[in-house]
Amino acid sequence: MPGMNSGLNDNNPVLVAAFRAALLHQGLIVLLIFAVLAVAWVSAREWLRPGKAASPASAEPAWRQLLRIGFGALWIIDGLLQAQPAMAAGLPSQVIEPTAASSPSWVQHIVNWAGTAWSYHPIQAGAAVVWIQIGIGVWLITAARGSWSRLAGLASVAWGLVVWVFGESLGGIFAPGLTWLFGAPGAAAFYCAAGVLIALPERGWATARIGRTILAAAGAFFIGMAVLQAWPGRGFWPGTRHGQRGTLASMVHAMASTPQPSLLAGWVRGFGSFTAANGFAVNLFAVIALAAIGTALVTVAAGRGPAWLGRAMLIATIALCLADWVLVEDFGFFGGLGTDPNSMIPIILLVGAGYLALAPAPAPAAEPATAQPTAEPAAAELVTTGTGPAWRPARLARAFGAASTRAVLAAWAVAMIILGAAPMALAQASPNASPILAQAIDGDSAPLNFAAAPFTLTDQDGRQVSLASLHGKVVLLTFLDPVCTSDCPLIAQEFRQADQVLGAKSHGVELVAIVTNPLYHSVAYTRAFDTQERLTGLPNWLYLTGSLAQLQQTWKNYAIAAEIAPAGGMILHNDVAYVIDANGRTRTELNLDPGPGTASTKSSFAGELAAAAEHVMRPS
Amino acid sequence: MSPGRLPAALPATLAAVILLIAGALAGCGSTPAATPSGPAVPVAAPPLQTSFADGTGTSWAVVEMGGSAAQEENFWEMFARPAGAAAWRLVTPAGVADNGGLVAAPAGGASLLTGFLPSQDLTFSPLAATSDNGASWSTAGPVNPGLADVPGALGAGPGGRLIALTSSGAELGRHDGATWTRLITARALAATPAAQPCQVTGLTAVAFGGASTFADWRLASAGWSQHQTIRVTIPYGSSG
Repeated sequence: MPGMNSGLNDNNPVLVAAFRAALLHQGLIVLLIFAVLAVAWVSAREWLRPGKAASPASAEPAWRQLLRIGFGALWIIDGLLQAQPAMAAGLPSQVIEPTAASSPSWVQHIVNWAGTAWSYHPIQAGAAVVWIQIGIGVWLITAARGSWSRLAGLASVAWGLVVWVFGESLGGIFAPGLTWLFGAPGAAAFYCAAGVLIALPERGWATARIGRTILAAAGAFFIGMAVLQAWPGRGFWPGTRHGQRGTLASMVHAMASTPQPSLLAGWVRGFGSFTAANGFAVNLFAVIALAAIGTALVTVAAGRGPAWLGRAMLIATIALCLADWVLVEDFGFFGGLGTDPNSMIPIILLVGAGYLALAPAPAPAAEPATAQPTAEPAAAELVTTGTGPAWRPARLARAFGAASTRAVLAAWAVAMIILGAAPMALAQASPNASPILAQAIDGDSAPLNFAAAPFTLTDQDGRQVSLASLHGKVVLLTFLDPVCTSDCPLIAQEFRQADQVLGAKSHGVELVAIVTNPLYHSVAYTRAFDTQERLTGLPNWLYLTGSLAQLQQTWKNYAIAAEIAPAGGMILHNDVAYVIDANGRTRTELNLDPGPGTASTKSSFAGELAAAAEHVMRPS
Repeated sequence: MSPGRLPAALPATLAAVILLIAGALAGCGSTPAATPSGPAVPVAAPPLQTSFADGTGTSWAVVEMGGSAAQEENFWEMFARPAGAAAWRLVTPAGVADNGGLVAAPAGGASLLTGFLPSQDLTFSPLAATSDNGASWSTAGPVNPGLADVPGALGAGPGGRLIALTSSGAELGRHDGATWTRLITARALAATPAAQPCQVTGLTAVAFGGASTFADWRLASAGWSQHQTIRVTIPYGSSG
């Protein structure tokens, strides 16, 4: 999947430090917003004496409370997992790419878009996901009722879909080896289902129909997963095949080998060995358990079966899911960059909610007394008896003061989401990758100010070109080996992209490369290089060469080492660029080791080159 | 010289026989289809091999080294053993990474031409020439686009002429690499009377006409049963 990741080390210290700094800064802003909201709310209540919030018509049913708080907590856990130091650089390569690897190419194509977008702006993307997920979690937990609460459910659906499509490659449903045991059809799909239920209008809460629907859907899902698990030819029945572990045993062993506490690894490894030895029995158990639970769910949903069946079904579901969560899914988040606890906890929450929803809805109840003062007029009264438009500042302030603690916390959660998403949205508006990638590879540029050494060399068309003849233009100067197989072609592409980034300003910039190969330096080679790198049509591109003596003098003047490596090796030379201003003074030195040479790093270097040229073009 | 035109300075009597070995589907028989379309001159054996001896008795060998599972991390080295010498000498020309492979073409006497196959982001082929059994090298070429990944992708002829097999077909050029002229493509070769009975799938070697005879170099062993040697005479020299 070309372009999917930046190719940089997940623990690159520059990226890790930048990610931490971004989270810290945004965290401080989150706290500041909280403080401002709290002060404003308390002040509004004290000074404006608003009325109390309207009493709810009915209490929130237990099933909805379970979903709201349970999935809210899961989103917060997911957000905290996203704050792992290596997540900014590592998510595309460690999570998205492996997940998509076994999916069909059209799925990979979709996922590649997201991976590329992330790799272009890893810090903003990483921080955005942290705050969006924590924000949704806080929102779900704090907004218990009303449209704010339903909106939190919809936010959970929307973000769950993003995660399911791009982070989980559509839950892997188009990949071979799909199995409930490893979380099919993706944890985020259950987050979406829960979000839909939370977003239901209050009139849908009161009947047991919602519970029957949830359990019937869950039952059908379990039965479908049982059929899939039992399907012959999918590799789940044999524990070993031709001396190799079967599908399930090898998956479990792969989980056991990931970094985690040794006790847990021992459990998982032990179960993997047991599965390898008793593959048929383990799969038979899984098929029967899934089918039995599915049948029980459907039976309970239909209102049939003995009274104890519902509770037994719930206990069996919890037991099976927990066993799978520990022994097969390895808690979901161990092993490198885990992003969520996988699907078993969401399944337990959904089935539990369905079971609770079978009971009659509770009687209407007021909000807890601590949530609002009692001696104040109702907020509803303020709204109906107030004068003027609803958005008038005084009226808004009064309504704000009348809001419950939960509503203020929900507003804070929404602010958190916006705070995380806004920098990523702004970054996405730029076609260039973040400069942090170039800095992560080569560090910062060095400001200089001295007269650039003169040279007169021959360009790719055989014309004599001197540095003096380029006065009046900014010169981006680099040194390239025309027969280099790796770095030099990448640097040439970065120069070409920098020209595109500069746009109209490129008329004032000359892109100049000088040959750094003491053996292969004829014009035929600079031409071949230009053709290879599609530079022949670039009007401000010059690839200069000359006699060996001329070149050696130029290399010396610009501190370029060009050493002949032992047979079979490339010429060894430094990857560097100088920015020479319109007056012929060297103003900046940029390290240009292109690193992994991925689309995002090339774009980042191109942006750095263009920015350096623009910087010296500005009048001082 | 403009692309597509042949050098006018060549002697009128010089006409080359380009020997091409084409990968072909089984079914056109084991007897090579040799239907010259020009004057019948003896041709040299194309160096479809990685070791050979030149006219002076010097033995040459091109060896892939590294043993890495990642092909791009392997590299190639060239060794030479002059006639009568006991030891092989490492003579790989310097200045270019040779992870893509090396091809060699005897150029008469102690001269040899070496081409670097494309690798990673290098898409053309630098050339190096020696006239002292690899003790020193000068640069030549390049071949652009790069040489095909077959041992017989390069041939040296009289007067500094070169023939190269690239991804585009067989190309004719000179040591300086300034201009290459397309001689024939696999598709054009497939249309020749010599190749029509076969289903040509690609070209695998090229060579100039030389001293040895074509019959000595028939590829009839079992390992090459899917290859057919097709001799096509392409006159590239004419009086000016």
